[in-house]
Amino acid sequence: MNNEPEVKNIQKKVVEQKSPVKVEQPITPPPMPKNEAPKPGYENIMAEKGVNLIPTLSKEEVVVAEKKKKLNVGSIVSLLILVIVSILIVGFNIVSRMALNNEKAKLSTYETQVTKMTQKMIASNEITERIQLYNRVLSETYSPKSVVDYINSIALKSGTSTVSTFSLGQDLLFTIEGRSTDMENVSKFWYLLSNDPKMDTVTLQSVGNNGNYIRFIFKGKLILKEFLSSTNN
Amino acid sequence: MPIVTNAINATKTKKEIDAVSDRMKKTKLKISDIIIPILVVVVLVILGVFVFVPMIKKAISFQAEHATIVQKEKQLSELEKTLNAMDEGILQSDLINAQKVIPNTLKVSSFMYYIDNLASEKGLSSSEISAGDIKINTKGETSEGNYILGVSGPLAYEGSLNNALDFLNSLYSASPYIITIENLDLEAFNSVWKISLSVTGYYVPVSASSADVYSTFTPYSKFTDIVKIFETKASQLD
Repeated sequence: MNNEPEVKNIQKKVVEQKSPVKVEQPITPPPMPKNEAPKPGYENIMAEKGVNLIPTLSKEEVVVAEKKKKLNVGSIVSLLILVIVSILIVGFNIVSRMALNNEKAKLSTYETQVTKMTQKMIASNEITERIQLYNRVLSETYSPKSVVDYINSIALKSGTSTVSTFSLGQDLLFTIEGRSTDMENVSKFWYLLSNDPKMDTVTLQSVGNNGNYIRFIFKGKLILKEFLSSTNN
Repeated sequence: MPIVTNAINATKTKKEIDAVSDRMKKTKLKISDIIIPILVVVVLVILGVFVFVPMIKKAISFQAEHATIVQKEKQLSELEKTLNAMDEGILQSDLINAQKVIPNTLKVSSFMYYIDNLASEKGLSSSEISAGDIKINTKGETSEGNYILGVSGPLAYEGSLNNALDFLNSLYSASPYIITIENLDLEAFNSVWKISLSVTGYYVPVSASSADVYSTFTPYSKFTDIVKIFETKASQLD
């Protein structure tokens, strides 16, 4: 029974408390402790004094942006190098081709000019061919008369030896047949032939006594260059 | 209470760790970021291998060809100078003399007539005459086309030794033709000497009517002494 007035008082108080009088007071933001760092991942949003609606780049984003920037610069540089190298190579190619074509045109003009003079060239070549034939043929030609006269002179020097047959072959290989009064003259003739400076080799092939005279046959080789003549008269 | 505090701390630590790992992941580049540079490198390599290298090789071959052409121009220039230095009139005169001495063709009959005539002049009587065309291999060369053409034949005459020697001397030194004597035999029968020999006269057939301007050219004027010999011999034939 005593509780009822307390309850009523309480209810009254509660009722009275339910309709407080509105008092205008300034709205203050919740106090931020100054030394406390924003939580990880929220630095760009939480600024020092409020919320940043245009967030700056976070550290990670800055790092990524730096890396991308370096990569892009690298790509641009590579492209530039590619372009420059292409220009250089293509330019080198074009310049070389142009220079070659110019020289070819010049050569063609030269050839046309020189071709008009080929008749002179042909005539000169004909003469040169004959000169070469002359040199080739007469380079190993000797005067047979000079060889016969030479051998006869040695025979005369030896005494009574005379040569009645001469055979002259290639490279001045010779065979001579003759007669002498005695063996002494034959041996003297042989000695003179063997020691002659223009004689290469000489052998006494045969010697025979025919009663009145001695027959001999010598074979040998004369030194060709001693009897060559480079020009004829 | 400590249990609750520990749980809260653990949760907090876990969250911080996750945040840190997220930050690390964000610093790494993705495939999409590096695809363009990779493509550029690939394109560069492909261009280099299939385009630039062949172009460079081609340009180098152009340079080599250019050098060859310059060399040819120099050769032609020297040839032109040499040909301009030759007098046309003297050249034709020398050519006629050379063709008289070593003709384009040498008839067997003409050659033998000359030899026989000479022998008669020297007082020799003929006992054997025959001749025919020959083709001599030039020394050391066996390929087709490297031949010397001539007329050759064995001859035999009789007369005195002096006449025979005079005849040989004339053949060797005074003949208008280019003659070689081989297999000479001189044999005495009492006072009469029999001479037998093989003579060869040479000729050069008409050559090709064109000349290669790039072949090595030797002007005939380098052999003035032999040209004079040809001139002397040609005058004997007139």
